[in-house]
Amino acid sequence: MTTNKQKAPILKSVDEYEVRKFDSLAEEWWNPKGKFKPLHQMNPTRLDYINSQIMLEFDRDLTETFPFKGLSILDIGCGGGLLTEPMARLGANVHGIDVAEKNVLVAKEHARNLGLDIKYEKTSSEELAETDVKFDVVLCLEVIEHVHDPQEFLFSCSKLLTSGGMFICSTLNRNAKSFMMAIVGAEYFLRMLPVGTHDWGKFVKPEELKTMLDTAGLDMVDLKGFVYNPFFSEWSISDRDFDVNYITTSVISESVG
Amino acid sequence: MKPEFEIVVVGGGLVGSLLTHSLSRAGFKVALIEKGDQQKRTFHTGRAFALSLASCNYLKALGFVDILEQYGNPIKGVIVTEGEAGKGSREGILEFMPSEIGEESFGCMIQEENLLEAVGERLKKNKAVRIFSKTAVEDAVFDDGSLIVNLSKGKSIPTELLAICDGSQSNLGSRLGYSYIKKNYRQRAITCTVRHEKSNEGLAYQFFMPTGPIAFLPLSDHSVCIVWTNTQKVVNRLDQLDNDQFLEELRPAFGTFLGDISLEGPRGSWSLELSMARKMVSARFALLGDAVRKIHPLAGQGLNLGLRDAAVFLEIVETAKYRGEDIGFPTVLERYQRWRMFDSVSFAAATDFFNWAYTSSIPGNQLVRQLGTGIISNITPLKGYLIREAAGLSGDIPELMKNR
Repeated sequence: MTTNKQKAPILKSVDEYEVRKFDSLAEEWWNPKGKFKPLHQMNPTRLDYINSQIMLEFDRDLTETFPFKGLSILDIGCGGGLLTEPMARLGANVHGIDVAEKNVLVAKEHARNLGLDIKYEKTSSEELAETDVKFDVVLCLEVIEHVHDPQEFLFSCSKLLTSGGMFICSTLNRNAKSFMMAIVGAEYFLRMLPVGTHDWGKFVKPEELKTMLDTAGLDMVDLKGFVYNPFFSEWSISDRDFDVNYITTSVISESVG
Repeated sequence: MKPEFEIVVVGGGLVGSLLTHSLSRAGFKVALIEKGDQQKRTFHTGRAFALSLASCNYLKALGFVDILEQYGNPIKGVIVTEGEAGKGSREGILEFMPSEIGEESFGCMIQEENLLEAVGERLKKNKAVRIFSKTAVEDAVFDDGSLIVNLSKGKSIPTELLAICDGSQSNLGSRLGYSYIKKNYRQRAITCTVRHEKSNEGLAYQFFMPTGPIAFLPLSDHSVCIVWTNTQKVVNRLDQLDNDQFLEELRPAFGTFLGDISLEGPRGSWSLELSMARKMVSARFALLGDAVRKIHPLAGQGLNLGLRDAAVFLEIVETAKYRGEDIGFPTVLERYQRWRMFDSVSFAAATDFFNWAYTSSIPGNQLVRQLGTGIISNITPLKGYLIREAAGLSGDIPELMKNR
C-alpha cells in the first residue's frame, strides 16, 4: 500500500526518544544472548498464547502444515521480527511495521536470509491506519509502554482490524512489584535489559488498558499474566498473576462493529 | 528460498536411522547422509543391546512392535553380585525385579543385526526420506544465516538444522569444533554369544570382578550375550585364542550356574573409553547418541541414552515447528541440551564410579562398594529409583518413550 503524503505526518503516538533508543539496539535483535535475551526467553510463551488465541478464534489446527494460511496478520513494533517470522512460518500473510528504521532493515535482512516471505515497512500504526488496509489479527506486544499517547495508538490499532478481527496486546503493569522486578531487578540487578529500556511511568495497569481499549471500540475478552521464573529463566502463562507482565486479547465491540 | 530439507541427519546407525524415521513421520522433510553403504551393512560381531522399557516404548511408538515381538527377549530381572563367578552369590548381592516398579520386564535384549536390518528396511520403504548412501559430509558452512552442507561427490544441500549422529567422538562434530572430555579405561570388552544347558529364566547377571565386570544378558532361554570387561593385556591374549581355548578361559569366569556352555557365532572385542562432548548444540547443529557421549558399557545404557536423545530432540523440534519457531535457532536447540545434559553427565559419572569402585586397588574402595550395595538393597526408595533409572523411566520422559 502506498501512503501518498505531501507533508510530514504528525505522529501523536510516536516517541522520538524511544525510536532512537531502539535504532541503536537494532543489531542485537537476533542475538539470543544479547540485549534482547529476555524477549528471546519470553518468545515461546508469547507464541503459545498468540497461537492458541488465533487457533480458537479462527478455528485452526496447529498440527497442520501452515495452519494460519489465509490469515492476514499485522505485527506493530515488529523489532527484528521475533514474532513476525513465526507467524509467517505458520502460513499467515504477515506485515511487520516499526518506526525505527534500523529495526526494519534488520528484520528484512533476516527474513530474506531464511527464505521467509514477509512485508516489512518503516511506518507507524497511525500512518497505516490512514490507508484502507485491514488485518484479521493485529499484534502489539511490548509496544504500548513505549508509545507517547497510548489512547491514540489504540484508536489506530482498532482501525486496522477487519470486522471479525482480533487484537492482541501485551505490556507491563504499573505498581510497586513491577517497579522492583522490571526496572530494579531486570535492568539494574540482573542486567537482563539495558538500563533505560523501560520507563516505569509509561507502564499501564490492566484496568487502564481495558478503559482505553473500550474507548477505541475494542472489547477485552481475555487477560493473562506472564510470570518469570528467574531460577529456570523460563516464562509461563498465569490466570491470576498480572502483577508485572500481562497480555490481552480484544475483539471489535458489538456496538461499534 | 526455504531449503528442500528442514533437517539433515548425518550417520545411518541406529540412532541416526531411527531419528530420521521419526522426524519424517512427524512431517519433517529429512535427508540422511551415510558414509557407508546403507544397503550392505557390516555388523559388529555378536553385539546385542539391552533395550530399556523406555526404549521399547519408543520403538513401539515408531511402529516396530512386530520386530520387538519377533526378536526381543524380555529381561525379567537383574542380579548384580561381586567377586568371582562360579562360587555362588556373595554377600552384598543385589536383585532388581521389575515387579518392584510394577512392570513385567526391564525391557528386552535384541541382537544388533536384527534391529539394524529391521530399521533399515523400514527406512528404505519410507519414500518421504531422501537417503544419500556412500556419501560423506565434507563440511557445513553458514551462508547468510542458512546452513549449507557440502557432501562428497560435489553436492551441496542447504538445511535449517544438522543432526549429527556419526558415532563416538563425532568425526564431523570434531571438525566443527566440538571438543570432548576423554578418559581411557585401559580396559577392553569382549562380546560373544554363549549357549548354556540350564534355562536362564530371563535373568540378566552382572558380576563385578577385580579385573572388570562381566555381564550375561539373556538372548533366549538357553543363550546369553556376554560382555566381558578385562585389562587390555588379558583381552589381547584372549583374542588370539581359538574358540576351544577361549571357552577354557571363560568357564571359570562364567561359572557353572547355567550348566555346561558352548560358543555360538563369532567373538568381538573393543577398547573402552569415556568420551563426553562439552556441549551438545550450537546454532543449527546438534549432537545425538554416541556423538554426545560414549560411556562404560557396564550398565548397557549407551543405545538407550542415544534413543532418548532422539526422542527428546524430536519433541523439541516438533513443538518449535508447531509454534512457528526457527528449529535451528540456538534457543530452541538449547532446550534439547538442557533436557539431555544432566542425564548424560550423571550416567557417565555413575558408570565411571562403579567401574572404579570395583576394579581399583586403592585401599578402602571395597568398603565403599560393600557399604554402597548394603545401602542400595536396604533403602527401598533408592533402589526403586535406580531400577526406574535403568529402565529409562526416571526424570522427564519424552512423549515417545511413555507407556501407552
